[in-house]
Amino acid sequence: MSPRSDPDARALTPRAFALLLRRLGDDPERGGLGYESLRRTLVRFFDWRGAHAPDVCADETLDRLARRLDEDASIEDVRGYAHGIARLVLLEQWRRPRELPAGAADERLPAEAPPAEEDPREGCFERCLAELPEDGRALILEYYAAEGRQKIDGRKRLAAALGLSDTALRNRAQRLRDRLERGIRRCLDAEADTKS
Amino acid sequence: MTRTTEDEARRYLLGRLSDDEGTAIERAYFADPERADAIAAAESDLVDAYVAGVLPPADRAAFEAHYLASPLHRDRVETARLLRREGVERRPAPRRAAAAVWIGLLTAAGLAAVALWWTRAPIRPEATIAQAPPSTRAAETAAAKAPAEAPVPPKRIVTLRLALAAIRVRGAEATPELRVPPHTDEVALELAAFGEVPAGALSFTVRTVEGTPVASGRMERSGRTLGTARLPAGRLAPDDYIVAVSSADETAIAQYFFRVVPAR
Repeated sequence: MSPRSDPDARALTPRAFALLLRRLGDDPERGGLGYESLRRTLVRFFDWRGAHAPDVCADETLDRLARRLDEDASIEDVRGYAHGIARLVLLEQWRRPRELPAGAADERLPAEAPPAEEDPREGCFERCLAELPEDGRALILEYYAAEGRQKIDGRKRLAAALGLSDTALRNRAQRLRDRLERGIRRCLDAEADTKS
Repeated sequence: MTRTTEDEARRYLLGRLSDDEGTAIERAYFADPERADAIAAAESDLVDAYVAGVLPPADRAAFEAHYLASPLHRDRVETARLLRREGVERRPAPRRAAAAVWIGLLTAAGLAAVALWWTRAPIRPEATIAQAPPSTRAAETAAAKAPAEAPVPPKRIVTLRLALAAIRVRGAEATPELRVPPHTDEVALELAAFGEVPAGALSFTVRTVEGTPVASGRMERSGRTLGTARLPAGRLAPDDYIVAVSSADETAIAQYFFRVVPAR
């Protein structure tokens, strides 16, 4: 059972959510940016710790954080507190036992193993790559074209050509790569839904 | 990011830090999102190094045992392979690049020879340019025929497949046995469908029969089976295992049973 399907969880109130945003930024815009920044950090935390659904766990953590802030105004380090809640959510996910289903109906087994099917990942990759903006596509391919000793020099030249610092180029390439990964996952899920 | 921090990021991603060390890193990047950006960059470098086959053996083993346990990370590695392949294919061919260097050098040599001749003899530039010395023509031909520098092929994942039927009563039928040969990277469990195949994304969890979690992730769907569950082979020590499949809303769909026996 995922954290979000826990029937005992109380619904997040608009008041609690508004309070969370206020604690993450001085004004609504900064609060929204602070929320997105914290959510991104949480997704990365759950991803790096091997959680099954990092985005779901991140949202659960934020919901619990908002409820706690509504209950306890003395919490000062909001991001640090979020880290603590995230660790708890992660532990709960790993410890939660799965219930075994009842015995299946008596069905005839397939006579032979199904044939291997073409990996749809390559098609999804090509489609998602083509959907990137042209300059983004060119950037990410150029960024990952060089190897070995040429990699560092190549990326410096690319950064200079684009008028970016090395760090800014790295972050831009990483965002494009993350976008590609998300697109491929959505595409693969859509392929699975089509075949089922 | 300092060299030391890059090492820490790599060890964090490879699961080599103690709980206290990992918690300290996490506190730091929760407090400062730019530190999380730096760890994300270290992660990309780590994945790219694995795909290029240049990770040191100890790091490679940790990468396969720890990092690849997550299906999201396996997806990330596959995307990296495809990006690398796409980037390599779009690079100028080394053969053409080598020939370009040769032609450039020859042109420079030729121009120098013309300049020297110009100072010593009447001007007849057309004849000089048209008649390249035989040695340079041979060098151009040799450069054109020089074998292209072979790109380092990405490492292939060795996959072992096992087809499983849903559990009726454990013990009532012969238990499917799996023997994992050395150097196997991944085990793919192809799970038979029974009755109507449910639509939508499905998740799987592999546990020992005692309940110890081993791996979990998203099923790869196909039309005729319930799908395929992929997990690192290194996680399957000889033991009895149960695979549980559930739908997106956590409804239990089916369970499967198999046994890993020692490799010969």
